[in-house]
Amino acid sequence: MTDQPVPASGVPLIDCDATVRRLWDYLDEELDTKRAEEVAQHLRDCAACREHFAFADHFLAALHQHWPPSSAPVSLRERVVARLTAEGVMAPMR
Amino acid sequence: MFEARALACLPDIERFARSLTRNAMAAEDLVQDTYLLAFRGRDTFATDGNMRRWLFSICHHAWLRTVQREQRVVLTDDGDEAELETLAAVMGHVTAQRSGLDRFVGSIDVGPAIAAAIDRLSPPMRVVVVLVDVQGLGYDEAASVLNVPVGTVRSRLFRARRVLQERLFEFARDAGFTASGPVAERHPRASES
Repeated sequence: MTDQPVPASGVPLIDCDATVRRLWDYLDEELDTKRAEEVAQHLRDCAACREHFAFADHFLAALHQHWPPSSAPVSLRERVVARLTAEGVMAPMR
Repeated sequence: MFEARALACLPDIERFARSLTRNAMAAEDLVQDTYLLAFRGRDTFATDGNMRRWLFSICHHAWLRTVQREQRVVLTDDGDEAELETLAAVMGHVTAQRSGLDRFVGSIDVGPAIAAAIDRLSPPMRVVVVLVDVQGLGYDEAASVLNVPVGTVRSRLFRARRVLQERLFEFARDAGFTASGPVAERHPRASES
């Protein structure tokens, strides 16, 4: 493994390939501080990668926003409670 | 109080169960089974533990027992292809940029396409998307719920996202979605293919 160039900021530079490989880990905040800062540094300097990350971020937001919400009706809660009570694992609600 | 904490999670558990079963009646059965197992095993729950994650885990195990008994799902060995899936997702974005299809993801019409794309995911992929992208669990938390290595979560998640993106682009293309405006500067490396 070769040493990466270190700019004045002290954060080693990583190339586009290494950056996009970390795309999901970065957006999910799963990278350690050092690796996340390497990505952030690259994104500050690279408009093309910034565009990929922005798109991926919009995609995740759309996924979260449009996922069907829970449709659990009140009656489901009542049926769950009734069964738990009938099975003797929950005291009857007063 | 155990009962109150557990029942407060019911909407999330119902949504998780529905993502597993894709059937309202089966989802309700699974929710019922989950709560019955949880209340029977309440002594195994640490009072300072994460109730929602604990119930997700019980729900997933209950579902697995059912489908494996009925032999409806085969869980394959995922391998470690997470980075390749990430690169493939970026390449897909580059292709979509060229035709303007990528703008569809930010449009107001994307909801039905997302629902349809999610519905076609295999259960192992759909589950991990629900846990991480919808419920907001970390990779390690999702791995704990599913009782699989973190690497498996990453592989399934990244593959699912790549597949979902591809299906959204397909949907946009089939629907005749076009977007006008300047084409953004291309990624030099990714544009070489």
